[in-house]
Amino acid sequence: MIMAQIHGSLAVVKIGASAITAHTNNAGVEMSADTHDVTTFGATAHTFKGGLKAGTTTISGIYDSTAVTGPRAILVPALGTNVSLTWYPEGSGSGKAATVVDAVVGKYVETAPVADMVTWSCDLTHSGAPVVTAQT
Amino acid sequence: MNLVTLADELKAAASTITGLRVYATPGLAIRAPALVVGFPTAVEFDQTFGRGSDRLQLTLFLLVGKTSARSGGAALLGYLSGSGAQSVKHAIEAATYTAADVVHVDSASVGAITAEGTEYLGATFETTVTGRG
Repeated sequence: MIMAQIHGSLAVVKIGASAITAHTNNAGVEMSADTHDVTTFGATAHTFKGGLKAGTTTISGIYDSTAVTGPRAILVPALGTNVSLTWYPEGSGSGKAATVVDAVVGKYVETAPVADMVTWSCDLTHSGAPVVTAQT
Repeated sequence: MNLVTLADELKAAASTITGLRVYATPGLAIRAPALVVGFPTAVEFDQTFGRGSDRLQLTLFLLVGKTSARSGGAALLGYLSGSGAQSVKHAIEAATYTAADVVHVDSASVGAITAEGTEYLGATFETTVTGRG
């Protein structure tokens, strides 16, 4: 039986060389493209042309106070800077999907509900086209 | 998260309460006042990617004294307090753990607890533990 569905717990996310996988429990990598309406008079339906591509990534997880490898230690200094974002939705392994993209760390949020764990989230805006490939 | 180590560490934490006998697992020959570390009622794996962390729920059972003895009320209040030398919540949360990152006593409920056929005045402490996967 060929297994094509992948469990989310296997995913890997890195900021630069720093894996924050173990502190992360949700990630959304969005890739989009501008859509231009080129409909002209006399047409009976809209027609479109594709334009510039864009992308954003949102990651979030459970806060960890680890001084060197925790999300705060990695993401706060990176605010407003470009980082290399690596995303392995299927986990690590030769031949598995990989997306690597330069991205600006635009927002970092820490949330502390009184009756639960401290959590964090981070929004990144892709800069340039992502390299969508397979891991070697 | 090594649950055997966790149970031992919970026992050590609660044992800092003077006069309280603590049992790392449910069993026989319990002598009140006692605190028994219950088996996990729920284990939630994969709280983060890559087996980063797990979370579990467990109940700590406090047996203060036999209900027929009509005593132990004052001691029960001490165990239920949020702070102080007799506070179960304080003793559990103030300890340092190697098997877990966070041990949090969420709530306590007072009631009769039956152990070995004997009914005790007691309380249950619902506890959440988070640690490495």
